[in-house]
Amino acid sequence: MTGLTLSNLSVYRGPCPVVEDISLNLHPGECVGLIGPNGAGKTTLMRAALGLLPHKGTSSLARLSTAERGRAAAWLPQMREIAWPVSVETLVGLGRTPHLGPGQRPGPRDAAAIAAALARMDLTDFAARRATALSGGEQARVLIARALAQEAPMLLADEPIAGLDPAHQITTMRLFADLAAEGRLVLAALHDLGLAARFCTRLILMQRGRLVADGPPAEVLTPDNLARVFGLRAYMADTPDGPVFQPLEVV
Amino acid sequence: MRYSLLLWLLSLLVVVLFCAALLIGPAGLSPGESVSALLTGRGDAAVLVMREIRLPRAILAVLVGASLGLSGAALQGYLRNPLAEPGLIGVSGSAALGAVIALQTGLAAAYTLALPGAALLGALVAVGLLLGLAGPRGGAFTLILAGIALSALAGAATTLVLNLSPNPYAAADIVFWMMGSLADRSFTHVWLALPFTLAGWLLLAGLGRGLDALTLGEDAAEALGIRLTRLRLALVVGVAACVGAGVAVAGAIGFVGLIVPHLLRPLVGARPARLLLASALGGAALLLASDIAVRLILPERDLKLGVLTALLGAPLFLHLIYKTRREQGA
Repeated sequence: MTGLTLSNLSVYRGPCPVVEDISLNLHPGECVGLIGPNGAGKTTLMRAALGLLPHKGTSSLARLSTAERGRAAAWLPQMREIAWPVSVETLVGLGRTPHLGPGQRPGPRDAAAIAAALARMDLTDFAARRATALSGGEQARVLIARALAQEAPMLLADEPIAGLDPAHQITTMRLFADLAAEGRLVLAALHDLGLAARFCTRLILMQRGRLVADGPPAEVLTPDNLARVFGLRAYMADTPDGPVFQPLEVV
Repeated sequence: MRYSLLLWLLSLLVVVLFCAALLIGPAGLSPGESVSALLTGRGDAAVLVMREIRLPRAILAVLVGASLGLSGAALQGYLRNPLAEPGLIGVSGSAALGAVIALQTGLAAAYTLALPGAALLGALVAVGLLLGLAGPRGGAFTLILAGIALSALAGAATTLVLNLSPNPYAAADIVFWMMGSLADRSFTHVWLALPFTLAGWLLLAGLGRGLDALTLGEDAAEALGIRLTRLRLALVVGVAACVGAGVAVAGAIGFVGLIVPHLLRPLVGARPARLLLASALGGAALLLASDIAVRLILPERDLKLGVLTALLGAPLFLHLIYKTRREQGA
């Protein structure tokens, strides 16, 4: 498995294209931010890439068998669903599902992956707590830990930092950047363009189902693109602390 | 509580209640007489009571109770809703409709197997309609809607049959049958229900991992490698087979499939996979206990099993709602 390749991917809702003719090559080691206004098709693109939606064109992930895909990519949906009051450790352990054969019980390798994921998300002390009793932001971190326990070479996340406090937004983005540096591929839909500019190696800008721009943050977050796609004017500068991006006003 | 300990305790409870079910009854046999009649076959009347009346009745209580508990746990897990119960997908209602038609047409009186056979046929038709209505790729929501539509239709048709019944006796027969009971069942009923029940259990027992993954929602579960279409098919067919067989031999017995998973959920750490086996054992225990109770409370009045489970279940359910509300601080 080398990265994610989409060619001419389109998704239709009735006759209307929600995602139209998108071709992309994403490589291991990239931390890719998927940006665009509400309704641009970010979620649909990721779900189609995973093969969770009927689509035209091809996605290298969607062509895998269901079980292979589970080992190749972890998926964090936007809806943070935790249906039952299971313990945090149990919930994170669900990430091991693709690694278990029929009837196989979790072994020491699975336990190690779960412990590592909990530690990485700073949740070790929460292991025995009931997941549904945690705050929304804590639940979000538990679900990210679940995706980490999956130990897949790819992570696709839909607005993973929405609702987190500023410190955890930064630690989560830092984690994504680290995962990419370790050789994994991270694709995350983001609304915080400032964090996207700071931590992503590459940004993909979508508008009305189409790919508008693709490249390093400085090349994507141009005044022209911002005005055209988001209707925004922003301050952007390279500082000793890294790139700083701050939206200023609606144009 | 440790999961294995819980399973041992529940199994022990089922064994104890099964033995009690064999020893308690209106025939007034002493425990010694009962056991010797069952094992040695000595004493004509006692042998008849034990082997032809009490043993099949106790076995059916285990089969039907476990089916209801298991199906309830599986459906609650799939729909991620603690209010789901086996009747929700309309299979019970359709099986009951089949049985009621058999009673109304007089077929049930003519052939022993006509009633359970018609009920099984009703369940089978229900599965076909359900899968057709809910579509091949539909999610949990469409399954609930299809189930509710089917239940309503079967309920309406059952009332129509009652409405058109030729005389009050036929109507009374139907009403009494619908209350659900294990009285006067024979080994014929056991042999009829057993294959469907076992097949249903087998299908449902394999769903554990998928149901666990569904804790994260349908999208995440599918991305974890769970084939949802297949899971739903196994769920619907499994529930239909074992619950349909249960309705065919015992009538519609409510609340067991709703209450048992609800009671046991905290004891298995809320994990849907672990709840399956625990609920099966719990359902068997509850139905055995209820069937013993109907014999003890009103031995001469033929108190119906389904009436008792509803009388027990509804207040318990109200208590659970109250407890949930308190936990949510409202």
